[in-house]
Amino acid sequence: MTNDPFTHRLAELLNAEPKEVLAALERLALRIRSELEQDGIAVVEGLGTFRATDGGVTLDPEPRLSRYFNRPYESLKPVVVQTPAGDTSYQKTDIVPSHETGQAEPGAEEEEGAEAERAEETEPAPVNDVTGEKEPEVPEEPETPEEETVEPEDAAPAGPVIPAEAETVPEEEEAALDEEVPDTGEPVVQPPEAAHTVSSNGPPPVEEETEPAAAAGEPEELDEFPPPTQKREVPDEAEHRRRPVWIPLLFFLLIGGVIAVYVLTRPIGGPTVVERPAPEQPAPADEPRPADVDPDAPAPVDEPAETPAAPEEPFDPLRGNAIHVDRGGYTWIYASLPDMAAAEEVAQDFRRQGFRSGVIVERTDARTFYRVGVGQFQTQEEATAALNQMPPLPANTPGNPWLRRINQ
Amino acid sequence: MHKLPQEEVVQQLVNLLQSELTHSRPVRIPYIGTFRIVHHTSDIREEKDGSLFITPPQDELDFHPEIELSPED
Repeated sequence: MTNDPFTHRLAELLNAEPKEVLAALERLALRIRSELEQDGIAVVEGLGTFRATDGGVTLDPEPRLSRYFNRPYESLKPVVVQTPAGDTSYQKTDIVPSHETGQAEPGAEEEEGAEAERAEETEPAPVNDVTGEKEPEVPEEPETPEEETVEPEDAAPAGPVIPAEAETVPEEEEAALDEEVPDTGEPVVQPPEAAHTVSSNGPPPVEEETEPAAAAGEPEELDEFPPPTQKREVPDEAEHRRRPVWIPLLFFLLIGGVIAVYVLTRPIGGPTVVERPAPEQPAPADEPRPADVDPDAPAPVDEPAETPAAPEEPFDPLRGNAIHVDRGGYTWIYASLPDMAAAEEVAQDFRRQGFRSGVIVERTDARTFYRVGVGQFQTQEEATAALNQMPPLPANTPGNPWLRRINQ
Repeated sequence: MHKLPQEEVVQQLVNLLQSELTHSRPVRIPYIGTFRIVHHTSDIREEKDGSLFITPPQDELDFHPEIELSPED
């Protein structure tokens, strides 16, 4: 037994003879056994706790030792991905009553709790990013916090099909606005309503056109809106049927809004065009022909065609080139390697197959690991939904891919 | 033959154990048992409520004892 390689190496470390080491190990084993037989437990400092069980002897290693051997994965923690099924239905059902009463507090507490649970999913707001790109007109509004909240609503529903969704968000925000800004008066209350009516029903009544004028027009756009007398004054009957409680409130707000717009537009008095961003945007896209603009008459026609093409490039979370760390989100970790070159080689192999892939550097207490990620998804749900489209693991990689937040 | 202090033996034993196991080799310590590293792969499990529980991969120290307890009377 003295020929055992471990015994020899231990003897070298201890500057002792192998026989001495063997004797010391035997004494250690005897001590452990006697303690196990007496107490059922034997603690060896630095190594762990031995326990006597029905099946024999087990060892619970010291946490420090366990962490040492689990270094490559020590920063990884279990992830629970909730199903997004109930989100939309919850919003549709609950928020209407709170809007009618004008008080979000009683129902809002529960809603806020649900929203907090959904916060991780909604915070990355992939929808907002996408819609933000598609709708360049929206950014004009962000003058007040109210108007900022209106933006995602207009973008999210993207159609008149589901009015409830469009209604829900503004109601919550209205409640929040009431708390934040109590004394703003009539014109301040109107904008959210105008926004929600616009988002839910496209064409309808006068409120839509007049109210946004009051909302967005306080500092700049007041002069841009035409006089309110030119607007249609027929209220939407469908809304009356749905929410009769709103009738007096709507009329009251409508009158207030009309008065506010009328009063505010008068002194400035210059009816101008609200938006003409289209001809201004092409300016930065003039790279190819800066000098030829003058002689060519159709040049302005070409320019607006070029500008929308650039921002509308869709981001494919699974297919593509590299992982953009600044963009954040989640990725499936396929390998965790101590060598950057090796990790980059694996990532390149995935990219050759057409998958978006990159190396994420992660430094632990003792070492640095290079994790090969595939895909870049805005939410965990999006990532798990793409699991069946993911590439197979490399031949020498055991197990399954691991979901990880890109910016931890 | 002098008697080695047990604390020092254990300390060097643990250092050597770490060094050997890092190379994925099982280590047998006479009279005590055999140590090795076991890799547990990550796992994706669907819960009853439909949510997914994803456990990370893990390297764990595994121990097969040579210490035998005498049967209880």
